[in-house]
Amino acid sequence: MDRRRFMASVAAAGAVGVTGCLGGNNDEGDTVPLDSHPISDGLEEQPSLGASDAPTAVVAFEDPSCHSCHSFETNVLPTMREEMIEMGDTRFYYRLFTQPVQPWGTDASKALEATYASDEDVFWELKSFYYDEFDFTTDDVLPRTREFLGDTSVDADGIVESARNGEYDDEVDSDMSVGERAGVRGTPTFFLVDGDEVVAQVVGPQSTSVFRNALGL
Amino acid sequence: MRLPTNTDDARLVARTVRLVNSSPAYAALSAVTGFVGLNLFVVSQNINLFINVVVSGTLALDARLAVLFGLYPFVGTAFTATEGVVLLVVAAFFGVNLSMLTYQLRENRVSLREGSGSAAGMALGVLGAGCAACGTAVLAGILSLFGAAGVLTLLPFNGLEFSLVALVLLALSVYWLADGMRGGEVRGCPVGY
Repeated sequence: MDRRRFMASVAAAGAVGVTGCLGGNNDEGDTVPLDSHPISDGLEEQPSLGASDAPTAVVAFEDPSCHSCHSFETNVLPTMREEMIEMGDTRFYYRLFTQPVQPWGTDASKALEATYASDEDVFWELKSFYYDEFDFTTDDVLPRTREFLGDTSVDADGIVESARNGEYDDEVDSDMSVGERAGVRGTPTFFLVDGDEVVAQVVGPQSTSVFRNALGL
Repeated sequence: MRLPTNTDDARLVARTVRLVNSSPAYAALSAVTGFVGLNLFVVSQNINLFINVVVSGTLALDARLAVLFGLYPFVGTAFTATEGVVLLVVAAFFGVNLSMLTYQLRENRVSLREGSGSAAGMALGVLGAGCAACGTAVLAGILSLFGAAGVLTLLPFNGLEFSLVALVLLALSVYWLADGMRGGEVRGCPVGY
């Protein structure tokens, strides 16, 4: 192989390899007004934590069966709650982007939507249950969901039945559609909102420090 | 295709790498290229964040640096300890590989085997080491071409497999480069058989 062909093959291979990960970023620059960004579609109807008048926001797209989302939920979100959300600086929105990484993620997403429609507080408990346990299968995720919800104030049987019947498929698909239009390619993906501008997209279970500093807090 | 099979091959690689990198210029090239590779792996997943927050925007310098350094293994949380170690080793091999390739390009013609191993190792290094999120579209798209998109859900190490394959390819590339110098000299010193 002569030098020119070698350098050309290296450049081509490097470009393919880099593209594999650059595909996770839709916009390479510039802030976007929140009102004209796809993530604003139905945003206020989504589960959220924090003050409604918080100056910044983090809009998360996650899959309950995603190991990277699991890492974020267990290692980062607790400190984000303490340092950003409970301080009144940030509002955290949770949206589903069910790929699914594991097949049980689809049923879990439907159960989450059904639970949110019934009781938002129990929704957050169920979400934590999925990420804390994280050892589900397609066969046992809904039975275990029923068992967990049986100790709460919601209608566990009704929620599991709704998930099985597809009553909340539209809500799951709607979040997925918003994510796709926003350029989400993998999970977790976060959009950082400062005031009324979407200032950046963050991919992967990055630390609270990254979020806090990127939002200028 | 010759593969490393014994300790003599390992000694050959170690000696050749040491001889090439005994030159300050090639040592610097290894270090710089490895550092660039690490940055490429880390930043490639968050280009939007890098451009909008680290490079441009109105944040103070310390905030921008906190965001940038927070993306790295062992500083931030995006990589487990195992993923971080593999990422650093891949970056190091990336650097050593490039310096040895450069030496060969300057002194000899590079063979197809050596070139393809390096190219494949570098591409996999970026694809595997830089993909901290689940299910990036291009990876799934590439796999779907082979009817294997679902294989992502079967990976027991959540994509670390790609980094490990990159490491193997880069290590083989280093071996083939060293093998190509067998019996010759590097900077006046015999490489040996």
